[in-house]
Amino acid sequence: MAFGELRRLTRSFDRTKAVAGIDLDFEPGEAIALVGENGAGKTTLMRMLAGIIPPDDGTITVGGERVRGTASASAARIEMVQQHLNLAGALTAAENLILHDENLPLLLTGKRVGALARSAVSRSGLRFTKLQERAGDLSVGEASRLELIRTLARGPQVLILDEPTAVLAPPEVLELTRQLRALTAEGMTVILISHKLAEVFAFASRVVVLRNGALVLDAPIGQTSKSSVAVAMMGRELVSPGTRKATIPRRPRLRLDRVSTSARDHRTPLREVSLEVGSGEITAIVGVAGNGQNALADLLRGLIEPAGGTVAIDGVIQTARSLFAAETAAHVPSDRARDGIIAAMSVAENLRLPGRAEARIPVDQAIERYAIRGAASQSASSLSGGNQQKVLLARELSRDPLLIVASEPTRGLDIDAAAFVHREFRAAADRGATVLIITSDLDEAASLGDSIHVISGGMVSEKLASSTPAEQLGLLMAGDR
Amino acid sequence: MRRTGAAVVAALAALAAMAIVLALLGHPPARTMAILFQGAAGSSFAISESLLKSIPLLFTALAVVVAFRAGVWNIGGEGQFIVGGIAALAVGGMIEGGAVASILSLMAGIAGGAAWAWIAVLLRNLRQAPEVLTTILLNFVAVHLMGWLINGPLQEEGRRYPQSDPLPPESLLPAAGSTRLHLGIVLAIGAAIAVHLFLFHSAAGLRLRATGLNVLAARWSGVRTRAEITRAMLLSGALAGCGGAVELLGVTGRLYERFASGAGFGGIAVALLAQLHPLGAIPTAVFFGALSTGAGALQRSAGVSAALATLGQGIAVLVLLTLASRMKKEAGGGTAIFFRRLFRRTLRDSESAS
Repeated sequence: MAFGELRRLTRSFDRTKAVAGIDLDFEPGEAIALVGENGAGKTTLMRMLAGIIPPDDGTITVGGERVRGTASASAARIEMVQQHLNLAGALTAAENLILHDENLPLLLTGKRVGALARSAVSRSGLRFTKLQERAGDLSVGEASRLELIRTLARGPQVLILDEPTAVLAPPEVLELTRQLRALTAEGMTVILISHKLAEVFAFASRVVVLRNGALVLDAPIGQTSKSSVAVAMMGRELVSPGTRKATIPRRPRLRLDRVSTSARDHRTPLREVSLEVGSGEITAIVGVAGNGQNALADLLRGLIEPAGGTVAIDGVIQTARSLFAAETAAHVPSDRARDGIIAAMSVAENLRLPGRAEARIPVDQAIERYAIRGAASQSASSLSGGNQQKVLLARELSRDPLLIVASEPTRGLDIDAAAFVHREFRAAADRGATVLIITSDLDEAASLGDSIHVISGGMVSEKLASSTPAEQLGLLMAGDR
Repeated sequence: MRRTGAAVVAALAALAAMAIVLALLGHPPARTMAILFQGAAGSSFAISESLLKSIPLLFTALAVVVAFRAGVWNIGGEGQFIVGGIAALAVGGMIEGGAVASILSLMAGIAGGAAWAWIAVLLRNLRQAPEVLTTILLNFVAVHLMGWLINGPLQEEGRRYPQSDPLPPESLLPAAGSTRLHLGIVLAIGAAIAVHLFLFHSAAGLRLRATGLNVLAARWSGVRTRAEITRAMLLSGALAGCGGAVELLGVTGRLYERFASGAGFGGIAVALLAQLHPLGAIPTAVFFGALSTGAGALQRSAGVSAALATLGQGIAVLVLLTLASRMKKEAGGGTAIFFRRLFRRTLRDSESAS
């Protein structure tokens, strides 16, 4: 019997299964990397292990004891550092460290707070010098270190870290990796949630890959490779590339010349991205989420100004303002619920946005053509995710656009609907539109794109043929160039 | 339907609470509530007075509806109402009396209210100052601006009381028969219908509501959300200012200290009870107007403080918010959602400001 045993763990949110019957064992001293794309179920699985959310089904046993809820999880000394920092910004770092201490003395002098905080720091084995600064004034790296110290001070046996490096600079990541290895050497089980392959391979002794709520790969690090992990994360082997033949002579329409964006706007900004897409051409930008895709999409939507370089359309240099105002462009955001659909409005109202006067296909026609399962007057929140996506696509593509920038356009769609959307993109390209698809789906990139660029760490690769093997793309996505 | 039901339940709860308070104060509730109803709707005069009281409330409620629908928290109806009144008086006083004077005066009120709201929008656009706070504070500025004016440059010729001279009677809005009910009721209902058509049957209204419901999605779809917010705030201020001008031209004829007497804040309550629906604001404003007319009668004949009306209004809104929080999934978003979002944004603003 293993030290930690997760059995048939299942958890749904609304109608989607986030985790579907996962079995996982672990032993003391293991350094496990839990990887997968956004929405693969990594965080949900670990939140169940930490007792933060109850499973719908399945059991968790650690050290022979059942874990049910936060009390038994902390009795089993399972601690989780969540992705979003839980610091009180107005309090000092020292005060934050002792905030959760249940045995605080009645009278709390500044001296006493300092002493308690210093002892917490020394228990954690990490260093921290800015105890008297307000947590809100700390850099994100310092704040996440503070959070880690607070967790370590409780002496965990199982430590779960949810993407701790997302906000860290490379040297800090290196330092953290080193510290975590030291902890596992002392017998602690450390589970690191990540989708950055470089740090996974720097840290882990074992890698576990989730996809769509299921465990798809569980292997010692020595018996796998970055590219096979990347392919496991993204799913399916590469299928034969698309058969679309270019019928229109292509001339360059969208051109990015060494474009950078500001780190103030995005966690992963663009770094000197150059890119050229012609009319009638479909280009796929493929990569693991969180590698600058948002910066690229926001830039082209005209939501942010480039910090360097130029964006040109048909040879005319664009500003955020002109990009935003371009009525001949269609934009499909990746975060449908946040940026795409207005849930409280009806399907018809969503289709009519932004309420411009120019001719559009009538609402009924859009519903029929895109096979939207819902009535015009129905509120968009009552539609399934896939149908919401269809509403969004219907709205954007019915503009008969010259430029289409679509992020994860078929996420949440079933096979038929996805095929329909792909046909729409191809038809638009055949009419001479410039299509840029930003996707984390290798299949989609290969079958739809006339060419592929890989995005990684805010940088975009050279133009690649859509027949490039998955292994090679996997390596580029992992940041090995 | 459910929303109407919730509003009716809230109104009934308000009446019940008032009856209980009357009983606790030692007044026989049956008799005193009868006086309240008599005073509010017992005669054609009572009805005309109730309707009269609802006019300023309807204007300020419409102001709140427009702003809140766009996701901007204009709590400055009171100040915009006052400045509307000031502008109406200033312009009306400069021109020979007559219909032209009324119309120009009204337009001045609209412009004055919008200008007062524009200050808040400017602070928001330039310095990210939360309009929740700036509009509240601008209310105080408006109150004291009026206080200075009626003790100084605009004080009556005789300089006896802190009030302005009245506008000439021929500049005022015509009243119906022997009652005080004036043309403003038509203007107010017309404004409610216009706001309804704008919000729910125009492309501009679609953009405004989209901005309020999901500013990110609205922007992604191509709506210039900042311009929408500015426009909504100006329109909101214009409606409140129009209310002030109509009150001046229809009822008071002059400015004095208690000119607004809480019309701006009452409007928030009316808008919330109407669940931010412009047409729903009509019966709601009449209900609140009737409550305060009835409470006035109660004070005269039974010696019960007219503050009872305020109690009723407060209970109605509280009950509604409690009910609305259970309706959050409905299309259009419940009033409770607006409050949650307001609360969160205020927190975030104060966090980033500190």
